[in-house]
Amino acid sequence: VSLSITWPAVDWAALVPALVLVVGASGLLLAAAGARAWRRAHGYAALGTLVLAACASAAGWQTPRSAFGGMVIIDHFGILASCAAYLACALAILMSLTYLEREPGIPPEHYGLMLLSTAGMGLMVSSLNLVAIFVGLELLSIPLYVMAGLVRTRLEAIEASMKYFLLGALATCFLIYGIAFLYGGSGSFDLEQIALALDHAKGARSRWLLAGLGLLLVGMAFKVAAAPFHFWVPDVYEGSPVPVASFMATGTKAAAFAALVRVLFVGFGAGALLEWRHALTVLAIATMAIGNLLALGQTNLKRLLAYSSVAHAGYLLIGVVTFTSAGVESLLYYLFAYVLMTGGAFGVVALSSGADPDGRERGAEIEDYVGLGGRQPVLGLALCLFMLALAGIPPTGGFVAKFYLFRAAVEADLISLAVVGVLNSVVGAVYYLRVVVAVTMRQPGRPALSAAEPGALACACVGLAMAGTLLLGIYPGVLTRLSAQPLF
Amino acid sequence: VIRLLWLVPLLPFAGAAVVGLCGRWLSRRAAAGVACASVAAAFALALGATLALSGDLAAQAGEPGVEIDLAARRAVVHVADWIAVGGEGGVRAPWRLLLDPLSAVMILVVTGVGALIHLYSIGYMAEEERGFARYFAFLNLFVGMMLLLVLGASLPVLFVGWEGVGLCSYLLIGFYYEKEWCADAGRKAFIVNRIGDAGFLLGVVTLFAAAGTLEIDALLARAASGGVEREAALAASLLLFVGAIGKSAQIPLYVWLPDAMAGPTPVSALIHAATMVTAGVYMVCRLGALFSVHPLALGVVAGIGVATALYAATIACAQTDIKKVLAYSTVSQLGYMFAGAGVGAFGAAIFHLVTHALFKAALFLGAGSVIHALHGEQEMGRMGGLRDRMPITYFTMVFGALALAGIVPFAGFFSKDEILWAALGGGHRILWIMALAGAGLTAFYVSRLVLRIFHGEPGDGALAARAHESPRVMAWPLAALGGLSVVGGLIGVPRALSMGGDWNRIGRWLAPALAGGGHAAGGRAGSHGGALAEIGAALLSLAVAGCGLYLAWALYEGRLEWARRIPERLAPLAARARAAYAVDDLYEAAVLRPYAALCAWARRIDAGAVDGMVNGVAKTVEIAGHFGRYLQTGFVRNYALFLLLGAALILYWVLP
Repeated sequence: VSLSITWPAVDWAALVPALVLVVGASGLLLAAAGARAWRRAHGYAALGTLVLAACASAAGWQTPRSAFGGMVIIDHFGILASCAAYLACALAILMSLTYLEREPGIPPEHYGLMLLSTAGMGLMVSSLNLVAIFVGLELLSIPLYVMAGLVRTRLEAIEASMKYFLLGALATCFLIYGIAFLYGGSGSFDLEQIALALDHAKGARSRWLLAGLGLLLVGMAFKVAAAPFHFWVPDVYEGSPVPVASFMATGTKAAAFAALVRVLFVGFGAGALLEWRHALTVLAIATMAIGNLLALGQTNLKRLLAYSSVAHAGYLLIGVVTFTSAGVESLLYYLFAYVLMTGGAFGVVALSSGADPDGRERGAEIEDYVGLGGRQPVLGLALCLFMLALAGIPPTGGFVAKFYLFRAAVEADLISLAVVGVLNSVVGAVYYLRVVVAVTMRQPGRPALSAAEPGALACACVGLAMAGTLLLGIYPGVLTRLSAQPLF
Repeated sequence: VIRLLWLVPLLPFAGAAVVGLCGRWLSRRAAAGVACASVAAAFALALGATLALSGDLAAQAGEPGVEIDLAARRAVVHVADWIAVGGEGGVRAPWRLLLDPLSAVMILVVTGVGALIHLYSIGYMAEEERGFARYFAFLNLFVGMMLLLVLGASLPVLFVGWEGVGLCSYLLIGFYYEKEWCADAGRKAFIVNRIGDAGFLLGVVTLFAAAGTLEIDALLARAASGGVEREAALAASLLLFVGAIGKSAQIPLYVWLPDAMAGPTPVSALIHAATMVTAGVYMVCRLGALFSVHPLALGVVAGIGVATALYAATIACAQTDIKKVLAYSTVSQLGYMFAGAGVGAFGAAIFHLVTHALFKAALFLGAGSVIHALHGEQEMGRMGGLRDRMPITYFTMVFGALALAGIVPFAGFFSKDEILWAALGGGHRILWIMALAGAGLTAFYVSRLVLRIFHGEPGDGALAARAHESPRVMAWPLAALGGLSVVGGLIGVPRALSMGGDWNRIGRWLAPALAGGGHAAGGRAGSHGGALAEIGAALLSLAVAGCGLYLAWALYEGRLEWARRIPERLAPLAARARAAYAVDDLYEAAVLRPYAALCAWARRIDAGAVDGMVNGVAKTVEIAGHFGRYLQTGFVRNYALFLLLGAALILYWVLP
């Protein structure tokens, strides 16, 4: 009797980017146990792994498909969103190379964890299955909780890690609860099935589904840091190491927004359109207003960037509310620009900050940057550029991104929302320009921070972000040509 | 070769990037070498592209990214996408470069003259300590921008070049920025140009609204087939012409060009004589079909051109600074080009542009050589008798001067005569008489220039005794341009003087690219008595130029008694002309002071009412922000509470 086993046709190729990252991360974590000395080498290895994963991801561009029964989706939207996450991770790794030299408290596990989290981001944006999305989200979050508190001797870091973990766990409860409701109402985790069920549902069953949607929104809104789920953001960013804060602000935001768009557009595009658009409109307005207003009074650059990231979540929500393909395109564009300019700004902070002998971190206060333009002209110029980009001033990517976004809103008849966005941009300009004034026009009142001479690779982070920000501002075609393809 | 057209502007840009960014680490030799090599390579490529265009163009078809139009002898190279706003019918502005006979001529002039002047600059700037690399970076950047301007296949690309050359002009006029008057001159040039640029931009927008496209070939086809309303075409043409007035220094915006002489002399030669200032003429000729839609548009061009030609010539007669003489001469010659374009003789205008680039560059470089020899002296009163000390410079300037004066067979004769003949043949008698008078003045002032520098007794013996011929790196480009001013006109000998043949090669070459074949409407040889009349008109203009020459000789060399009385009679007029008719003061009184008063008034309103309101809003916003900070307690329990409240609100909105 011959025994033959037929293997099911498994599309392993679809998983290669995630596998590369996870294998690389595991290798780095093992290596960190043995070889703790060569911290730079860990960084380079992480960077190499990331580049490999990005190539593997891009390789799927020509062959959009669905694998593992819809658990993994290879499409243009997912690839572009993962690339935004990879970009965020690359910037964070590049700035870590210098930052870890100065912060001996951070162990080399930092790099492995960052790759794991990036793998989660990649999974989260390329799936139509709520379970897979949830797993991606957790894979994203848990390493971040750890990374925030990797410096066990610093109280602020422990506090940040603890706060992020507690509130993140609470939000995850809402998310998983919502997924359970949706499963109960539709009998499936698949977004397309849920959409079908929503079409036919009546009465109580429809109410279960809508309640599931609401709870899901809470969990996602926490991850994208929309008001009133944003309270953790400034505290956590302030306490975390700068590269981790940058990674949270850029990578998490990109992945969570991409997943939110896919869930809402595919799963709830037909049946519950009115409900979520209404809720997200209110959230968008509240997020923009709260982010910008609270940023006004900040004196700490990391907190300022935290509130700025909240405000930008508000702008990005406008793109979701449009529910048009132009809206999605502009959202993707905005994500790339946002990753570059926020990552770049954190990069400047990473280069200029350091710990005092007494362990208190310095270089986070805006006062520390007074006269930076005179001391380190290139760094000062870079910070000014990123601030102008965040404020949405040409010729930067920030301007073009806002332009596309608000235009998409106007075309979708969301004129009032666009007006609110523009007004908020005006408020935003105030605090961004305050930093520019500090860097270029004011004279330092207290002894300047003696920043170390930044190495070539650290400069690569800021340089890459600068080049990208300018490129997106002057040559929008590089990205719009890609995102103009049918997305999903 | 045409496929590589994008390298033509890119090479100077790359040179500018290398020299500008790495100048600190480059030796002076290397910086100058890179700068010169990039322009020379661009010239070689431009030559290759022109040969390919003139040869078997069909062989070039089918190359990727190149569209060939055999009938119009035109190649469009798609380099990259740039702006894409809106779907169908939206704004599209890809980087496309247009190579046709017109742009081929322009790129040859820009790179050819540009390369010679780069070479010359090595000697001229040799004593510059810190700014050496900066100078060459700017000069390279300028060449790149100018090439972009003339190669741009759509108005947005052309506009990038248009603004870019303005920027480089500003940077180079203010090159010696430590001297306040140089920096002021740079600012003046920039601001006056902005007025023109605003008009240009409005013209582009008007054109887009009227014609729906900004691609030059589509635009011209639409204008020629009546696809653009007459009034809209008129408005767009006049607005675009405002830009040309600013860039090409015509009345009333010419005031920046004389001040622009604050820059290094090679810059004056390249930017403020040979190339950039001709951009306006190029633009009018390029869009000839559009300007021809409404007769008034070309009428305005011709009127302003001739008026400027005559007016600037009178000022040039009275200046005593050699660069100022040449600057007003440039303004005047640009006026001739516009006059030619305005009567529809676009071919003649471009021909004059080419010859003017050659002989005016020769004159400016000669003047630079003199200034270099005299250690910065520019006053003609302190010169004289330099002929034997600087023979190469002397002969170059004599050739340039004869070309400018329009003496047969030097370059300027043929081109200027073609413009004059087009005006007369087209029936524009008044224009012709004014232009003829201007030609007489031109011959006078340029002879005066040469005579006072090189002949007679030195005004300052000690200065003259130290004068020396310039080094070889300066003398060679000088001699080359001098030689070209002698023979350059032979590419466009008019049919009437061709002894039965047709030697007007440039006219035939340009014809497919210009509206109406580049000939003045109704002005073809044959009407008005034909060839004989044309020869007669040429002899007449030659006689007028001869009169100007003779007068200058009588005054400054022969010192004849009757001639001496003329300046005494004209003394009051001459004084006014020397002060350039006090136009700068007039502008200050009529425009600047009222504007300053308006600004002061607006400032008061702004500080009181507007700022008050804005500050009030800002205060409110800040208070709101301050209040909001109390919510940020730092306690996880409070944050969790807000999270729960938010969840309740979302559920409230989502649930029916």
